[in-house]
Amino acid sequence: MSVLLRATELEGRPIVTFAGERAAEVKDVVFDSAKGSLLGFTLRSHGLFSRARKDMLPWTKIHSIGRDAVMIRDEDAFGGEDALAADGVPDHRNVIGNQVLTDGGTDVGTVVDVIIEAGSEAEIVGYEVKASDALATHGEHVLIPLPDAIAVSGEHLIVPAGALEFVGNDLSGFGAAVEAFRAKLRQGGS
Amino acid sequence: MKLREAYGRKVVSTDDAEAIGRLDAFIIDPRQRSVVGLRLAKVRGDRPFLSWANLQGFGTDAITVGSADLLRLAADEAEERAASKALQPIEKLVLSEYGTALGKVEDVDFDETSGALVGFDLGDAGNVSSDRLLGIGSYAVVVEEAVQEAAPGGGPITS
Repeated sequence: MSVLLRATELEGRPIVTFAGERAAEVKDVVFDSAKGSLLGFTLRSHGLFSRARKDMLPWTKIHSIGRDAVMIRDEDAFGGEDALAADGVPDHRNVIGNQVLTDGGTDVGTVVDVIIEAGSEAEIVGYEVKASDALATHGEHVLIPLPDAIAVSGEHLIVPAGALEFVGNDLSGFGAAVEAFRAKLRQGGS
Repeated sequence: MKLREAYGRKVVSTDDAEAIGRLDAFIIDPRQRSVVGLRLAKVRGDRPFLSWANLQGFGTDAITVGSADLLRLAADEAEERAASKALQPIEKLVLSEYGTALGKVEDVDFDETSGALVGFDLGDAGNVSSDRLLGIGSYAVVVEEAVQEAAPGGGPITS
């Protein structure tokens, strides 16, 4: 079972142990820039004097990402900062605002959010983009599916031109669009 | 019996028929899914704790114990904490293990002879059986996802 989420929706979501304690809140979503996979969350303490924490929550230690809370078994789930120390790992803020170009050189728009598919593993399946004039929907937010391995670093984000055939408007149908797009890529279509 | 109505109930020692205090907090062990003790208010002295095993009766009008000598200090910090206001389940958010809010605890049903929890009453959101209980914390009561009978596409994820 997997679910599609916007990265920004996760910010501030409480991280709760099975013992019912709010251990932290999600500060940011951290991606592996090379593989387009989700590494985990940076943390902040909750409450009035909320502040950033040095440790993080690796993806593998998350029991579940729910609508109302991120669930962990216990606070042993939190890890050191090692995973974040790797160079070139941007959090999603580094991606937001970046220009998306097709491999053919068309400006698609700028990234306003990152769409994550969260199941037993988590990966980036799309961008939410404020559409450029090149798209019929210019000015609106559209969802662009991504191939299954794509780098998320860099000033420009390159997507295959074929992705534009599978642009969606809401998350409910987007999972199917991602599937269809990737199936087409595997068949060698463009 | 319901948890909510039991708060404030007087505790009487049967050896001298004296009131020795009032029920102020339940000590619940989520692993045993049971009430394991009580903390009283208005006790004479500084020993407000009672073990469930030492109760004689948990009635609708009074809770009875053999003697005021059964009052004791908290066994440890964990017990002290379990008896705190922050860990009493009434009005607490209920979260499933998958991070979905199920509702708020309106009341808790428990067996007054054994102390065993029976279930959580979430008002309009229904009831949650106590055998789904995972933990009671200051933020939420956490429960296992409801087991769906013959769910299409396989059963729930367990680990």
